[in-house]
Amino acid sequence: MKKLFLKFMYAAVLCGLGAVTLHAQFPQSPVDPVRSESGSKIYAASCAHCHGDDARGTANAPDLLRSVPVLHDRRQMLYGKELAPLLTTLPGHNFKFGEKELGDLSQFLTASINGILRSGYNSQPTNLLSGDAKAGEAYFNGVGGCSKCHSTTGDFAGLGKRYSPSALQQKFLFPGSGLFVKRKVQVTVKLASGKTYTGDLVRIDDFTVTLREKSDETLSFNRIPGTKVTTVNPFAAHEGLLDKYTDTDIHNLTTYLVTLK
Amino acid sequence: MKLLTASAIALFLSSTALYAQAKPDSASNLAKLTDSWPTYNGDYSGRRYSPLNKVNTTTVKQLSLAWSFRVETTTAGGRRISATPLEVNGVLYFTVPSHVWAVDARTGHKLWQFDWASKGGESIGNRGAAVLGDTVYFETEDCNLVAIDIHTGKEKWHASIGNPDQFYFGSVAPVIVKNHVMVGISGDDFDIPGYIEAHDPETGALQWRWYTHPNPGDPEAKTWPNDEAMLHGGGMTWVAGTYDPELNLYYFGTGNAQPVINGAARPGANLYTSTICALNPDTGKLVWYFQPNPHDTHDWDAVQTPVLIDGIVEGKKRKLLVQASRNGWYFLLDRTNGKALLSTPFAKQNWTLGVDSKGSPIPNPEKMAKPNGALVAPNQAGAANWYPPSFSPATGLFYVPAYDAYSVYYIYDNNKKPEGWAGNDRGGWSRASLRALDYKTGKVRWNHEWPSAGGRSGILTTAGNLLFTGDTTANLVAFNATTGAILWHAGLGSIVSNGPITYELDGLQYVVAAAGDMLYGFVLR
Repeated sequence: MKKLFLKFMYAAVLCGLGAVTLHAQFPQSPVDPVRSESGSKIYAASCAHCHGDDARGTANAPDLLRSVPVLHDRRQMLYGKELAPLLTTLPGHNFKFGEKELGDLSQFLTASINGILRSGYNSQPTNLLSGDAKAGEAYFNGVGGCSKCHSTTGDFAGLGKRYSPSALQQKFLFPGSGLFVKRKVQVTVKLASGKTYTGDLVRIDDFTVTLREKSDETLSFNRIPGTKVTTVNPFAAHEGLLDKYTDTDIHNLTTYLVTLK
Repeated sequence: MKLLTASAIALFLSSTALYAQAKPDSASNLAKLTDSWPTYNGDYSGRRYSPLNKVNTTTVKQLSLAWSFRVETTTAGGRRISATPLEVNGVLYFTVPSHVWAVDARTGHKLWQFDWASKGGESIGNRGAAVLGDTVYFETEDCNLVAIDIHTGKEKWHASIGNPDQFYFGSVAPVIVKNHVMVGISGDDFDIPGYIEAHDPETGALQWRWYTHPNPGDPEAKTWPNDEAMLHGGGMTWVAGTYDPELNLYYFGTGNAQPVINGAARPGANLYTSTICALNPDTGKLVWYFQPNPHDTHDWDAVQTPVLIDGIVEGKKRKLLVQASRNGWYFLLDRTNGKALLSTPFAKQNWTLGVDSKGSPIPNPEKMAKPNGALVAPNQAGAANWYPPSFSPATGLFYVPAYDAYSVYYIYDNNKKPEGWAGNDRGGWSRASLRALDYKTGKVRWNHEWPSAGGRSGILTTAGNLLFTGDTTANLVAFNATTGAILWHAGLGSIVSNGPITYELDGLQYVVAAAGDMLYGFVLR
């Protein structure tokens, strides 16, 4: 139950961080973690025996997370008002919860429902270290070609201390996106006059290109005839591996990189 | 007022024409999109092909901005116009969640605005309205079908189409088929079944509802482990369908199975999720089905527009249906019976073990989500998505916004009874292209890779041998539909947020595209 609660707490934190995007998805039903925790205790004592530890139902009692009255209570933030008569009148139910207890129970069930919804990427997936570190090392130094650019005693020294396993996995698979991106695509624009500009790529389409020079000045150019644009992707080697990796390679490599403490 | 009076008379005439258009002799008669764009896809075929040719490969360079219109009403879903505007008798009708506008198609001036007092729901977008006679229809995010007087912008009636408590919401553009308002339903966060239903256009009364799962006891019910999994199995009907009046069949795709990512508790093909369905629109009875994506575990719905093509395959005249599906596969079907004539990838994909005897791809269990991750192409956003494709009978090419992408699918919830999503993907690499396929073979005839990844847009093709679409940044771009050469562009404020449309008024050809909170009207003078 505690583990379950922590998971919901985590989801609540994520919701807080992602309020702008999630607001559109879930405009209602915010949860107070303190009240939800209190509700989880009421649930564990009075409901879990029949409806299961996680409220997903058992052979003897229905799934509360899919219950229409529970869902209505959640969406309209009724804090148990409509559940109250059911909790006293349904067969086998004879609970006389007060308003505060009803509200807490309602918040716990709301948190449970929110927790199973599409809530974006969970940054701490489990079991990422199920691979074979030795095989990962062989891949690093062999067919993966990682050691051609990286050194376990140089830029990768202490790598396992710097990043969580999930961040590491994300970094070697998709180094050009997400958090921790340090290098940009480099672009060179050569004008018909022969004048050349180089910098970090800011924006490009078929008609214009924008770059930031080392001086931090931002320049835009029309891609008119005579203008030559070339880009260099610092992560091209990583992207080339996407067609080649097996999932076993990925799991082995993750497990190995984490050992670089 | 004078304008409204004139519009009222003309709309009456137009309504007669539109109703007549619902009963043509053949599907080919529908492709006469000249002075109107009366349905989500223009006509019933889903081709989004206009016979107009004043704007063509030679003249397109003179296409210039005539007007723009900004949506200023804030809603829970933001102000992005992800609708295809309809154009009927000189008036444009379009939506954002909870709001509908009528705008003069010549000037961009507002005629009326309808605001629905929503009781809440998910507001990820609204794909547009339908028009029949003097009524405009649209879905609200809190699950109502609303009928609006086309002259005054006032509500005539509304009817419930679902229960928002259960995470159903409305976003689909309704489609008028004879005396049926065909309504799809949305929702992807909970284990609820999808359905499609028809309402009476005059009263709003429910005519029938068809769920996207078999009835318990049907042979197809064996594609689920038990009735409970089946009745909580998903299959939303997110996108407006297409219609063949000759066969009297309404075609639409269904959404992915639920729970979405962890499919362990629902072994089997999970019909009718991720399936192309053909229904009799009068009875709501299923006539045939074809499943592009059995046992989905990647959030790959198969709602992408089923486009109707009359063509010759292996020397025989055929009534065909094609779909570039979210899972990266292109399907060519006989639309009289749903038999697959061709199943072939049109984008990068690594999740199959081949195809079965019916032409459905066979999912590779190794490429389903895992607690420690599985690298999968395409990603959750899909090789295709709801953005409308187009088919030009002039070039014989089928055009699709195609994404090649990888992401890693993780299971977060390995409970014996996963619910909701129970996992997700984490993306990171994608490449965006506009792809032209030979509809008979699925082979790529030309491919325009956009210089950067980003958003995508729907497509319009015309008899002027042009293709209009948005790029990944914020340009409306015109291509030579045969060669893929870029001929014209206009920089807009946002990414083109559905498919452009075209129509001719007073001898002038307009091209209209929505981008973010703006509608832009271009014209060739």
